[in-house]
Amino acid sequence: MIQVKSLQFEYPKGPRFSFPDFSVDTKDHLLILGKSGIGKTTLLHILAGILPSSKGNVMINETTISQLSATQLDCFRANHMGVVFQKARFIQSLSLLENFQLAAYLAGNKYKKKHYSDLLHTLNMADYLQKRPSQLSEGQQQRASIAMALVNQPSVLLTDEPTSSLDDENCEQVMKIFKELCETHGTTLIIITHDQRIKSHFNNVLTL
Amino acid sequence: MNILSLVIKNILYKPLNSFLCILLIALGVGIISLLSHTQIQLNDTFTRNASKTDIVVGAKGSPLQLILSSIFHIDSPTGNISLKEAEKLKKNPLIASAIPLSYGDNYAGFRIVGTRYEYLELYGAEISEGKLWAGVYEAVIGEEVAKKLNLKIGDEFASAHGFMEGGEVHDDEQYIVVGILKPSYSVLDQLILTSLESVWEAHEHLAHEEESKGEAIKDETHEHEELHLHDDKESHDHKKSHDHEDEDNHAHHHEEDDRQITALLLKIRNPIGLMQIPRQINKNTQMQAASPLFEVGRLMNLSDQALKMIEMIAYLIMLVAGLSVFISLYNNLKNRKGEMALMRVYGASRKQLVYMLILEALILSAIGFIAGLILSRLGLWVVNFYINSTIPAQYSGFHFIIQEFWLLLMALAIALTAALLPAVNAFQLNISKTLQND
Repeated sequence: MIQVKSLQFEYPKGPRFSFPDFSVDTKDHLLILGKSGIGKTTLLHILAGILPSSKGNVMINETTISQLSATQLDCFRANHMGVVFQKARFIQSLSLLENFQLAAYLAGNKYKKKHYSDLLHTLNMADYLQKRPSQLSEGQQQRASIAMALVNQPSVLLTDEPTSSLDDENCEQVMKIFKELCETHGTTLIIITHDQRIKSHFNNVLTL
Repeated sequence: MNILSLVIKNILYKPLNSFLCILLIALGVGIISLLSHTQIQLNDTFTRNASKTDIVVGAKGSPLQLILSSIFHIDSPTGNISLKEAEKLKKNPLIASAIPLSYGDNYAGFRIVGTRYEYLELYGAEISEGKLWAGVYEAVIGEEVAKKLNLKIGDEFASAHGFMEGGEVHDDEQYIVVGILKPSYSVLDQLILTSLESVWEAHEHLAHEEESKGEAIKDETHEHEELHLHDDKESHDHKKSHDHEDEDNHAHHHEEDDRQITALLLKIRNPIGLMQIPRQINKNTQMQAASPLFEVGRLMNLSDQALKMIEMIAYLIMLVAGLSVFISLYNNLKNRKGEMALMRVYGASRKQLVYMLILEALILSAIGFIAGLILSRLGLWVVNFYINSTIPAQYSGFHFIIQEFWLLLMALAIALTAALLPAVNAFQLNISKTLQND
């Protein structure tokens, strides 16, 4: 499903990272642990196809993403990848529903409204569909951003420090949601974090 | 949800920012459009009225004043000329027609002009109700006069001396409305027309009154005497009866030679006449000849300079408008960099981001343009409201003019220019870096 081979990245005039080879099977989970500054976010961006690697390659669903053209990559990203960031991100001028609809539009998909409300429903946020992101609490925003990442039913969900700003209770809740959602949608989950609390949830742990 | 609705949401999300952009563009477009319309309207009105008459003959003085007073009826006359001397001109074979005008009174601010029926033909005016004047103190009123003063056939009114409301009222004699003109979109719409004899008679009455007031105003009275022709209403056909005896004791036995008019409108047969006749008149008589087209041209030149100045200011406003669209987009770009990176992660292409920014600029300037047009129409409406009381205009201004098409192109060009740099930045957006730093 996901295969990473001899991956290297070098920032111009910056640090150079070499990443260990690893692979994740379909519907499996992988926790990538590492200290700050070790290139966790860089790895996530390379996996998500928003940063080209310097060397090596990443294969996702039999596709080597470094071989895709810019347009193909945009399209691939839209349909195969869901990304949850450390800080929840939305288009501030749009309601949650509109944000979800925009994500679907950009991927060339169209869903009924039920699809979006179902997504929020599983996160216990069904009432917030028409709310603006700024009207939500931080925890709610993080959960809503997970819902948004899943709008286009991606085969891979990449998450970058999704729990670092959450307290223990919220952290547990979010981890539970991730596992449930990925199970029901058949999504491969990769979590990149330095948060040791969630280690116990995973069998597959890669330490950078 | 698509890019267009996203852009609209973004515009609405920052209402003050958007409003400022729109307002500035609207002001620029509105002022330039209003100026263009006003210029066209002035040209239209001036030439429509001025082109009917080749030469105006009047008392010596400012030629512009003579034209303004005799053609447009917006200035005081330069004085009076002798009818006899004026009629002599008719003998010149180069002159096709000569229409005498005698004016100096008003009713409720509308000028009363004594003339002949040819004056109506000159502007192609027709009676819509009633009939043309026949007897003394019978008046035919222009369409605007009827509308604004709510005068109907059979209504009576007293003329007042001078051109402003509230002049000395000749209240002994009442004019009676016998006809109302169809709109001719000429100066006639604003006039009260009557026979020359009525005007002469009204002034004679005034002369009588003043004379009886005493010695002190005798000089003045003398002036009015010269305007006088008949005492007798029945003898308004001045060619026939002039050997009348006054019933009152003021015996004003005026010869026909003493009758005066204010201006004579000439139509000339050919270009040679156009050259010769003014020269002859100015050289050999006590009168002056002025060309309406020439004087109007001079006037337009003067006003053009002033309008150019305002136009420059308007273009400056447009420039500032463009700058404000740019600043607004650029600020938004900084604030929305994260959002754009997010869109890229969700599969938006570079082109879509560029399209989004350009669309936003175009929508802002298009709304500004439309608001500007509405503004200029409102302005025209107000301007017309005031101008109409002095110069009648057929021009409504509610149609589009070619200048407005150029304005549209200019507004769109400004939008595109303003969107250019933000669009380039969006195109080159480094998603990874933005997501890490933002």
